[in-house]
Amino acid sequence: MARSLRFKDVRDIKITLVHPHDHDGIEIVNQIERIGCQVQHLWQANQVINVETEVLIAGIFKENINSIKSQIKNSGNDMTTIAVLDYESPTTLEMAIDLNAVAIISKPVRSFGIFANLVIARWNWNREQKLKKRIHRLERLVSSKTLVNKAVLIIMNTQRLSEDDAYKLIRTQAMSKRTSIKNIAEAIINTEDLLTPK
Amino acid sequence: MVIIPIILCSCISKDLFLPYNGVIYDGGYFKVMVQQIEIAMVVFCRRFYCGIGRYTILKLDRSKDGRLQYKMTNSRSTAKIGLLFSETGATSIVENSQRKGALLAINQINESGGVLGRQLEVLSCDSASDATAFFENANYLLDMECVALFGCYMSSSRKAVLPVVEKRNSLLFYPTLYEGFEFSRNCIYTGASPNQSASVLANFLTRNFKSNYVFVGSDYVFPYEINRIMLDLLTSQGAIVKEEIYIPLNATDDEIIRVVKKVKQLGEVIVFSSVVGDAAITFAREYHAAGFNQELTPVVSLTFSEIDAKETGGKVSNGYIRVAPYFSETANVANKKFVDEFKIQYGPDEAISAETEAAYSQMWIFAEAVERAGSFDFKNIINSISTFTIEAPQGPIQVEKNSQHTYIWPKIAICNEHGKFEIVEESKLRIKPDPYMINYDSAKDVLTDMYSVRGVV
Repeated sequence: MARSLRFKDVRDIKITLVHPHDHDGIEIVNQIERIGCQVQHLWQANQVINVETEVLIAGIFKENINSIKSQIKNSGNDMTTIAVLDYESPTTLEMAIDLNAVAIISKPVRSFGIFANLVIARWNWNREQKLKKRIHRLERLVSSKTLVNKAVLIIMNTQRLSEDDAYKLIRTQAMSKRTSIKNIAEAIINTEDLLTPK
Repeated sequence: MVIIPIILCSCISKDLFLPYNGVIYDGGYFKVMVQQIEIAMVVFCRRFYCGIGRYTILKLDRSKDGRLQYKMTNSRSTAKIGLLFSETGATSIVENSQRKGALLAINQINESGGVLGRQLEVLSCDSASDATAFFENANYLLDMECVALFGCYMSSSRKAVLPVVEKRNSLLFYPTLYEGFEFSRNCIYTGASPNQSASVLANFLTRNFKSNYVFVGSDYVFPYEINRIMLDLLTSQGAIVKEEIYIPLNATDDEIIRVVKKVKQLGEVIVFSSVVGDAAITFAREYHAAGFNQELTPVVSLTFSEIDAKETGGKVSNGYIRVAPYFSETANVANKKFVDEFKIQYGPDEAISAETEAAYSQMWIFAEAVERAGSFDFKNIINSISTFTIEAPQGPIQVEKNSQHTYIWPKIAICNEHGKFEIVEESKLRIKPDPYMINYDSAKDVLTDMYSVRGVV
């Protein structure tokens, strides 16, 4: 796969940290600033995540998990989430998974690992986005393929044409009407009942 | 020049000339600032006042084998032991008992000649059930040259101390049941892991009760995790868990009464309680006052111990079921000796629980490991710590090499009307710790084979 994240882009990443303003929180902020990214540090449930935020680093605590979820929802951003954990127990991990975290920062926070996690998390997230787009495109293709096949069959039966010719006919129609083959196929299917002699 | 004599006095009185076999310093959370100043003074004085003698010896020892030997301070033939138990605060009842267990072991070790010929000297800090205080006190105790730290009850306090011992190449001995999923090279875990406690309890419950459950726990990581495990174990056996309720650690009586009301609204339910500290006692009293069938729908727990039962009185905790590696009714020679000496030391009415026993036994594990290592150095202790078994009051226990958790002997006991936990079943074998165990629903058959029924429930 082609390089999907250039390192020089890392500094442009807009980050929001949701974590108490304690030693660990401050260490994360300092390290992000050393890396050269912009960071918004918030903790209160009523604070709002910046609209441009691309990466959310969230401290996972049972008592704040719901407020973080609503903060994410309210922001409406599609963000890469990194979880900050102090326990490795399954209940804590479940909360991290709940937030769709793609990387973990462990406590006590060390400066080492934050840059690496940021890069890997962002890269994985980019890859996921690309794959999602590709899946979406393929799904569309598959669904239009079924429609076109059905339309080709109708043309073959009504016009007594070969499969190739039927397809060419539909394609020519689409080109002359400046629309997609899928739309023409839909039109043919929808009007089949009217056109077939009873 | 005026200041120096004052500093010297402080240094001498605190650090050098107090009796070594007693508690020489009791610090509290609010004394931390004072402690920090004292440390600075003591460190300064060592350099200044003891400069020639001690400092030179230290250098010689280092050049000999390349590492700092605590024996270098041969002007004092003691080794300092740091105790981190809350003497005040929400969980102080259990932690005070753990502290007594640790102190009894230290006294016995000192009477039998100490460790490597050195008497153990106790430095004890009250962290008042507060994680930040645990962090600061751990640093303080290591500044005071403690060779290892012993204590912590709640996971939050352990988590606060671990980075300190890791950074400073020291050891924490942790004598409490906890939620698992942890390993630190600098920690020895002598309490039970969930596979040695929760799975035993769930197995017992599914064999003996057909009922609905409600989980009530304190609001922190141990109850979350243990509830997740119990939920898996019980529901895989067809039980129904109606609700999980969490109580704040410093809950008011009103909050607890509200929880009791909520539980009563659920109908006939067994309460699985992982409420800890003072709230556990209030909850027990209020739940008793609300009335429930102690035989058909008892309160079951991994944490409610003899110590809590003593606080509530036997009437309240009658019928409570607990799984733990130790109960004071354990019948063996080592336990008789332990209980006798504990009661001589602290009075005949003093309650002893699994937490107390672990705090006691782990001190002996430490002493034996140091003897075998021939050194107080943490790396040497780690290497020797899993090489032997000690006769603990619960049975022969051993530290497992890879996880540094302990092989223990799970037991099931039911509290009688006098607040004594009568053992009804106990493991035939010592159970290996498995702190990262996840697949609890498949552990059922293994455990059934391991238990011998001693009484009828």
